Amino acid sequence: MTRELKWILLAEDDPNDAHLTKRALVDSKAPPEIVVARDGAEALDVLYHRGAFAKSESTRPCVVLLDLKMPKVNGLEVLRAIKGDPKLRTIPVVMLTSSRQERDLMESYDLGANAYVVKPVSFADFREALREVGSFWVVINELPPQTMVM
Amino acid sequence: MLEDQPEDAALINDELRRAGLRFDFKRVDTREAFIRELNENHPDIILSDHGLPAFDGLTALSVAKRRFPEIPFVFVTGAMGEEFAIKIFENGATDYVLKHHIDELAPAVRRALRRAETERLQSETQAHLRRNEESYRQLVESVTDYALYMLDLSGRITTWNVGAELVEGFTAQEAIGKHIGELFPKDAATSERFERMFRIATEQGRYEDEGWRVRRDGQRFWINVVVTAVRDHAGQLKGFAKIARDLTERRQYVEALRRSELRTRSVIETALDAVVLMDGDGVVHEWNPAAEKMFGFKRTEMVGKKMAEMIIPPYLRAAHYTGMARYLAEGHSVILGQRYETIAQRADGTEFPVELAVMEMPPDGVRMFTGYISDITERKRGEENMKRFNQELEESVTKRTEQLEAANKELEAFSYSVSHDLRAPLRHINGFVEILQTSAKEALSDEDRELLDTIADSARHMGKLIDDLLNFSRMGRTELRFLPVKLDSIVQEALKEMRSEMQHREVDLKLGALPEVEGDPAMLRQVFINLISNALKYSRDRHPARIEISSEETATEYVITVRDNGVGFDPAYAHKLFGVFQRLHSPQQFEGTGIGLAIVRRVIARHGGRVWAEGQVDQGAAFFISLLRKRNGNGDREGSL
Repeated sequence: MTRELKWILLAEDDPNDAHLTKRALVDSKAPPEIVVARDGAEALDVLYHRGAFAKSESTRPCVVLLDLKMPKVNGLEVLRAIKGDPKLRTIPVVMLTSSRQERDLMESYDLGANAYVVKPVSFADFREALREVGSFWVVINELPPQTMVM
Repeated sequence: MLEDQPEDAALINDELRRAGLRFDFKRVDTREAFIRELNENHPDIILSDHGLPAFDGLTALSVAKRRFPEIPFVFVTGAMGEEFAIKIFENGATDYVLKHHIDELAPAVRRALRRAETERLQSETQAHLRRNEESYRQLVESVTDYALYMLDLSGRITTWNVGAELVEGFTAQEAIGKHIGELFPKDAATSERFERMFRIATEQGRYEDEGWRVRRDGQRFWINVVVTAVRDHAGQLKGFAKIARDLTERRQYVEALRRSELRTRSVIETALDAVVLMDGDGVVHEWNPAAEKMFGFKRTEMVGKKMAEMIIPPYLRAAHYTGMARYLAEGHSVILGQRYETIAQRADGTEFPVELAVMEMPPDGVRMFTGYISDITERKRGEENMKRFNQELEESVTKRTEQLEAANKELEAFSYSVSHDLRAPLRHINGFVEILQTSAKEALSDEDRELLDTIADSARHMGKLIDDLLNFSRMGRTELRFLPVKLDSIVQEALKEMRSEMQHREVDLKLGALPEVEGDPAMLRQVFINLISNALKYSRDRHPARIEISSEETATEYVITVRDNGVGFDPAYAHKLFGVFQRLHSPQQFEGTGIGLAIVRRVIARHGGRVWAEGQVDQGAAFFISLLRKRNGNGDREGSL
């Protein structure tokens, strides 16, 4: 454990959404550190310490907030990669999306998503939702002991 | 010999024997002896003296003639006076010979015997003739099947047998003595016929005629008439014999047979199929006009020829002969008694498809087969067209399905991206407006804040529009699950969802009994949510608002009505109510996206039902949906929407 501070990986291609999400999370009682990946490929780079993130911290995020629709590698593909990798699959993944499509929901849970949150249109509701997501996954939820990642 | 003098008797005996006659003789000289000899020995000839002491010749003659007139009686006497000679001849004597001319005796005896023989023969013939005539007459009289009667020269009837009574219908009593013309119809045709009959019979000796006649009782009958001229030995015409026979039954049989034959023949002649009759060797016996037309061979060209060599293509002949031989030998065949398709050949060598049925005719000595051949060129072409058409249809259906599936996928992708991409900017607008509203609260003027509120409202409204549109699209595409649905509970569920809308409202709700139908529960619930929420919305100025849900049933469907006492609508625009985004009120009056009733219509249409509405401005509105009473099948009912 090289680092006490819990951090969140937010994979979100839309800068406005990223802005609003960060804002909502920052408004919470114990604002965590937020690492933003602009697409799925970047998100995987963060998790595998590749490319621009090769020299980043070797700890794992306490939760990954994953948008579904992203360029290059989309949210479901990132989810499949995380849950398909024995080293990563214990990381909680919350799908954070504007899609209410049943198909997306089913597929996400099939792939092992830990939660599925539809972004409310109203910012007040959105902020409230993210506050709860943050307090649950960052504060309340206990993670399994972290295995060292090379 | 009646002679009292034995010397004379010896003399006569000698004389006759000398002349060469062979005979036995007996001399008698009394009446008793004479009669005894006559009765017992029946002499061929009697020679008698005249003047016997005990018995005179004349008495003997009369005795003999009375009993045996056929026995010749010759007087042999010494003298014969002329008067006495006349007397004996008057009494039947055959001849006389004087004793002193004894040499005349033998010729006289010979003459007498000859004459007696002739007379005997004559009388025998006559008796025979009489007997013949009698039996012939009886025969004729008793014949019942033939009318036999004689006519004299004038046409008068002279005889009339039983058969004539039966055939012509007149008794002998009625007929005999009448002119033939009196018995039959007195029309021109009949008298002409009689005239012809007599003329031809006279000229040619025989007349024969056959035809329908009408009997006395009006019954029609078919008669055969033969009239023969009757002539005497000299050839003189004496009259006519007419023989008539009632042949009605035979005639009717013949006519029925001919009609039946004609009918049978015409069946074959007029058949559209080629009909061929052939024997066990395959030699053609009949070839009907349809066959002539189909193959181009005339009947005369075919009869007597082997069918196979004429109309079966060379490469199929061997198989034909093998099959035929096997049938004839073993009695079973793959061909006989059923239709099968093969190839035939026309006179010009062209081949064409045929359907062939070969039947063995009922056994009647020679084995015969009937072949029925129809040209199936057209049918084959039709079948092929049909096959091609089906194939094309299948291909086009497959293609269309693929296109539809592609379009559906595209549509899904479209609505997917709409739900993502269209909603995101709205959320951003909202988000940033809200952040501004809280963080820049102090710096903004009241007007600025109102503007921010308007931006937020517009964004929210657009979000609602997007949600509704996606919902509507989903209602059209989602597969329906048909289950038994109790509409009572569906309405209860819908009302529960609208509890908040009904809060703080005075609503007089009236629920009639609703039926159980088959349908998709979730979609039907949406229908009632939309209808009830509509009713609540447009009656919110009413105190109380009255909403009534009821059901009626017809033979085939249920009609469910949702009625309110709200603002109603102008019936002129009733048809626009169910259109997508169609609204009859401004957003300022009543908020809404104009999608609720469109969803109602789409869902009900997919259930095979109809929707319609009635209303007047300010008089409330009634919305009707119809649902089929019984579903058959599981498919989507949607026709086109």
